Amino acid sequence: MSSDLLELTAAQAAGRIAAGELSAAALFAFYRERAAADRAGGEDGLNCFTWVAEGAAADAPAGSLGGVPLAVKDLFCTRGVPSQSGSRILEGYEPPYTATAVERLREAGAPLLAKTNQDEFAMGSSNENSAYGPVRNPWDRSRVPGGSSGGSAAAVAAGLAPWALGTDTGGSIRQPAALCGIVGLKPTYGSVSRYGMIAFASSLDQAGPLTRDVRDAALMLAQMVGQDSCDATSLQFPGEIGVPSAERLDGVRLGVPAELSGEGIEAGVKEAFDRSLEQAAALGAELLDVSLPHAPHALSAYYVLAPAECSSNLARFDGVRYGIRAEGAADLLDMYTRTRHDGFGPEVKRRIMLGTYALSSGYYDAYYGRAQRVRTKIAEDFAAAFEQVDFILTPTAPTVAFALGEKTGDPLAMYLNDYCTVPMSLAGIPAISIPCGLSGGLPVGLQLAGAAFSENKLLDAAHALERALAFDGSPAHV
Amino acid sequence: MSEQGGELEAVIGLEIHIQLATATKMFCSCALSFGDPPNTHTCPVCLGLPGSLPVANARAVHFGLMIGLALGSELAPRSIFHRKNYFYPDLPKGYQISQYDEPLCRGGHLGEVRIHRVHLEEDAAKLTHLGASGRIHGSDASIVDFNRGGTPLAEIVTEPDLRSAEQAGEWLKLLRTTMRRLGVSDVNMEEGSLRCDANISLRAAGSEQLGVKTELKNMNSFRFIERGIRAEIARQQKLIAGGGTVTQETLHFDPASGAITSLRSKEEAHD
Ligand SMILES: [Zn+2]
Repeated sequence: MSSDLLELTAAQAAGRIAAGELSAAALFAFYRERAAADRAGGEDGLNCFTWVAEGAAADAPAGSLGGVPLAVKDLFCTRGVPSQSGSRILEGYEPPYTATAVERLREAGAPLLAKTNQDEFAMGSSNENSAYGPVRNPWDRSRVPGGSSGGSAAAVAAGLAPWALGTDTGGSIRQPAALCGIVGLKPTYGSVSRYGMIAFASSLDQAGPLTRDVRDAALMLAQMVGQDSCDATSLQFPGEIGVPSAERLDGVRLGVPAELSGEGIEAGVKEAFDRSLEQAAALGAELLDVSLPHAPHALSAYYVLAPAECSSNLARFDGVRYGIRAEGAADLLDMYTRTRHDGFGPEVKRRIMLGTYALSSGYYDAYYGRAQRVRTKIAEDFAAAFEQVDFILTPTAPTVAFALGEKTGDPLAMYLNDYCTVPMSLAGIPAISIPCGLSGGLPVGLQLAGAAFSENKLLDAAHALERALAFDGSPAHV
Repeated sequence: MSEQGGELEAVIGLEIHIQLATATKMFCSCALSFGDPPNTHTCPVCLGLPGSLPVANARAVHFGLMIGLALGSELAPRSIFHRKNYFYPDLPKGYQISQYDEPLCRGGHLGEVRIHRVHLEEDAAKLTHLGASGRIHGSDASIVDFNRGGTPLAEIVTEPDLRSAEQAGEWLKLLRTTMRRLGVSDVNMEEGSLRCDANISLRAAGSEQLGVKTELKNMNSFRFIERGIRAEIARQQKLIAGGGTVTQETLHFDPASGAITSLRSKEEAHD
């Protein structure tokens, strides 16, 4: 029975539960046991989780998600359950409320299975910045799963959770999805409430699904979107998210930007990407060259804007009200300094310092103001491209999963992981990563990006490509 | 610059904070209160809990616009909230949500005093320092009551059009009456729903140039405001007469002793 359950996508499992062929409780118990074993496994496990439910699911209302359990990135606030955002400064912190996205999924029938490991405050591309230890990639345990939603991606890839919730600021859903051989979707900024997501960079953070296939991503997204009176930047999604069913791409115009698909892309990744383009053409798509002239500056702008926002967002972690407070401080300033010194990891400190500098008086316009203007240019580039094409295709990440420790000493090399994903984040547009092949036995991700609120069409196109590419995403089942 | 011989005149501008009489706080749905048990009107938003987000109170914006209309201000077609970042235990998010370059209202006047701007912001929580000093330095412990935190404030800033302590006091009474008539605030100084800071400088009478100003903080009654301003004018006059110069600083007036002391210390620097 167990291997049988592992084969099911979330949609298939929900279907069986609805048909009375499978009990939601049995499915929950099955995954709970797998997740708990990983958590108990120490060095032998993947270290995907920071918390796993004990016993049966807390009340799971029957909904369209049919009782399929959900793994949730640590940074989503979950009432009475540790929500630490991968940071020591929030060690043991249990919020008194639950994030809107998690609450909506629970109401739709997806009970909380586990909280997943992540880079501290979502700052990282390898999950090595977690205060709770790195996550291992199920395709090769000596390699990283990507980040910052590394625990969510690895858990889904390894069959430790049917599906997972993540967040994406500059690629934090798409890049780990690519490195772990699963599907990851960053929705249009504002389509999913950010209420209850422990903030990294508020103008970029967006929740989204990490799933085994495109259909599961659509199923989860359909229950997440919608305006929330607690998030003033949330919008009513126009229409509903449907079930993707397209099998062909006839008449679909796909743009390939030279700026994001040539230089800096590893050979094996480029080969898999080129094969995907051939598949797309075989499905009837028209392939066109498009230009995103400002995209090469996206990473520079991002590493001004995101740290600037984080330096302000993380000011609240001062030891006064929650989380850890350093002992033995001489006075108030000493308490602040020691608490933040002990509580934050090196990458978080680096970004707070970068951001504080970029916002400091006299430098504000030269850094923050200028980065904002680059951001506008990038959004204009996409708008112009979408006059010509329906979607833009790029590799999701320039490389496959790299070795643990390989890039920890070189922040700039680490930042390059997000080279292809950051432009879409700055433009606020939806983008999905689907697995498109292997390079050296490791998964390669294909990124499709569309105009704001084009999720339905985007999921349809991804669905057609996914069928044609026929990726076998089952490392852990082996 | 020798001003010893000439006549000096005082130049005074006021910054007034008015707690708005809305039902709920500026960015959450907690009720406004005064005198209730501590920390009974709080939620994830006004406690600055991780993941919480502010949603602006429409009624507070409406009140802000009413103030602008009453003062003949220009109402902004587009107005932006900004974060004013600094660390202090009465500020749960590490920043105060305020307005910077696009305030709700600009310009206007009340009587012959011109208004510079009116903007909206959120109030800080209430800190009590335990121990003999009553200040954070040297206190045994400090406790925070977040009931007040997040209360909507309108900040009204005048141009430096006032010339004496008496005139400032009279004008402030006119403003209080105006706000009371509008029904936007209780404007009660004892309860803190009306607070006033004064910027004070001296210059040669008839000169157009402004002297170096000091900021006299948080005077909590009409009597203290007049006495405080008078004391500060006297202090500056004496300083200049003795050949000294005024340095820009934030000051505190102690009504019991009549003394003026410097308030600004590192932890209160808001830059
Ligand atoms: Zn509140």
